Amino acid sequence: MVTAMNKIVLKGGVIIDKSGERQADVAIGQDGLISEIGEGLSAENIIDVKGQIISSGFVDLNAHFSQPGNEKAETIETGTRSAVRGGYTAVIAMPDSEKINDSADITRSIMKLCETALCHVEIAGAITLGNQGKQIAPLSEMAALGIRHFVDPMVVERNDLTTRRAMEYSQRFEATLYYGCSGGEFYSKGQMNEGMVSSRLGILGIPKENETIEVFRLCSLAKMTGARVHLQQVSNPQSVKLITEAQAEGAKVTFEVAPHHFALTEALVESFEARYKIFPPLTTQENVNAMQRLLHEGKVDAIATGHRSCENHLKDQPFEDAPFGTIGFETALGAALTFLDMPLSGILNLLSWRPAEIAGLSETHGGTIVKGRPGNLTIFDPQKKWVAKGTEMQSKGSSSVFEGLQMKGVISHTLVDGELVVIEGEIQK
Amino acid sequence: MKSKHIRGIDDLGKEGIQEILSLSDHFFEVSTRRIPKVPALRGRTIAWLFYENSTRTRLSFETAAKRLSADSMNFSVSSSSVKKGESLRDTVETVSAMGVDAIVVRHSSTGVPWLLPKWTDASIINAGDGAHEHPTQSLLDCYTIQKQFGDIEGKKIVIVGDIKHSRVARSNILAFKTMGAEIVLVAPRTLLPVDTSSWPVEISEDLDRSIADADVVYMLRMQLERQKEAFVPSLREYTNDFGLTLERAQKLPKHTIIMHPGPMNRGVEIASDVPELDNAVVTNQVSNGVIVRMAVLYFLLGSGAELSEDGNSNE
Repeated sequence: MVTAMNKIVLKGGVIIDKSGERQADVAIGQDGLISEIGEGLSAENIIDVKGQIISSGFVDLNAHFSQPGNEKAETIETGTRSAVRGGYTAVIAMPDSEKINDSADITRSIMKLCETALCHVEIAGAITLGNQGKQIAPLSEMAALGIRHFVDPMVVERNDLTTRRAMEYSQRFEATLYYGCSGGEFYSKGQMNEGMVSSRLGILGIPKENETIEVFRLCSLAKMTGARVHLQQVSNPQSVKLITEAQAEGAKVTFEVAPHHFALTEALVESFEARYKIFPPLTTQENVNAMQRLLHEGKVDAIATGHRSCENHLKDQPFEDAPFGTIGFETALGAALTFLDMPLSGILNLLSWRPAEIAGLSETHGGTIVKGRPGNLTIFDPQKKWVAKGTEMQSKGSSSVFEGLQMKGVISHTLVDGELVVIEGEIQK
Repeated sequence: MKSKHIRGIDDLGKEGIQEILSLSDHFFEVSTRRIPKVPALRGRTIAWLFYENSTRTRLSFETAAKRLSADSMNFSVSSSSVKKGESLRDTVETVSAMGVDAIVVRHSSTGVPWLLPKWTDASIINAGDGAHEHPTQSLLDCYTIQKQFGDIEGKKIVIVGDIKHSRVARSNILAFKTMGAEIVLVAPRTLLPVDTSSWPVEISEDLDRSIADADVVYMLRMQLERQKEAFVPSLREYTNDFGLTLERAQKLPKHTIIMHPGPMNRGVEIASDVPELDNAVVTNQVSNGVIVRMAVLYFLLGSGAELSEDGNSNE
């Protein structure tokens, strides 16, 4: 009997997953599943990953593609090219492109568009029609198509009643509700973090209470209703304290932190470059240090990029005229390895294992690398240094908040369902 | 090293400010001549890029340029390609390609003068960016104060009003401090920036007490829309507590001068008859504006040689 030859073997790497760290080859079979883990494996395609880390693929809970509607800024294809180059094998696409995903029809059209994706795209639906915060969208119709993530993005003026009803109504779909934590009013004209720098520059600020008030409200309602709630892009330690308290009281609340919120400070805004205009805004060094501490202490559930590509000419505008947003897939691992003082397992937990659980993707992604699992894998060199350059990244827009920064940690290969989509940093499609 | 640009007060420092003030003395002399014009910047081209409405600052700059015999290129934002969606970058690169030595820019967005050198080699002069800086206003204010008192150092300058939204206040605080003045800001908390802990100023909400021993009372324009945005309950209440009423003005020490960057809202931050008082120097500020802007343009674009022969430079 002839057993089918392995398709790929990753040779000489170090596997890190939930069960620990071990040196072994990983083989992928013709069916795209992990076929063998062990010594001296062979295959049609042997990839030398000596000295590198083999991890399960990263999972981004917060990705913005501008498709459908604003394809000039990003498409699902260009966005996922960037995602796989950043080591991501699954991302959740937020329903806030120009055409908001608040109906089964739009969901179907996005499903079609996802055929162009280079990694798994989990489509999220809007919680409220048009992201207006008023009327609940047809969640059941979207759920019937398999949607399990529903989102009310940043800057929605929500009322307590609608939020409560959505949290109650959605539970029969075993859905997770994702919320951006911004009440709206403070934000309406604010351009950056409110504080010493905004005062000096005369730029209208957004106080941290814009976030904390909303975090408190959402945690209270999550507790009240028992809904599964995930809070997006939490940027200050007071918010984390409120969430940790709610978690301790039994609320099913998780949250994510963006790489720039534990890496960069508002001092960058003094350059007046619009690439530093992001939401929630960059904050103080003190705040950044506190976020790092919370990450080190294991208080944070996930790192999520909030990746959003803007057309370059829009980011070339003066600070106050430019749109918010930064690309983020290709700098997430680098930011984590460069700015966090954590063991690799801790960082992979934040980038892959825990977000896979939150997204309900544990069957195919996350913290276990064993025979029979789909080959969703990321291989990287955690020590190799590089300099972030937006124009060398795969997104349509090249405005990156990490521009010009030296980082460590380079993704060499990404496998999606057992297929090598990135080899030595080069996209294979 | 002398700065190539005047984007903010920090581009100048004390030495730069002093040099401009002493150049201003020279141009003051020029302004008293029968024909107040010199060929100092002949052959130099200055472009005006005013993205925000401005009559006073713009006229002041244009007059200054004419008196220095500079050519000017007027990019009228309201009737030009900008209205058709041209970006700032494209506009600046276009103007620059035509050949300009300096660009005077006003823009509603903070920081624009700092972005421009990416797209042009011209010297940049900030004529106001957002609520951030307005350095030539501060230079003319420094000149006005120095002319009045001989020196700015040690003077007590009280700035009153909407500091939060004021680029004049931000530049003035930097400039007055650089020149050694003592600064007091008077405003309701809602019209102060949120965090002034690092500012070299004293802050007060008691106007009467603060101006009792002031050398300069500097009133800021109160935008009428601040009332709608809930910064103050009513303009009447604002005028009561923070306006320079005639009564307050008459109680000021004899030597105290009253300043205002204009345009004034008579009856709001400054009572109707106050600008006519002897110690109000508002019109001096305006005439000094032209002189100081001549000094600014000459400081950045002049070679020094033209001035040494100024005695026979009239033509």
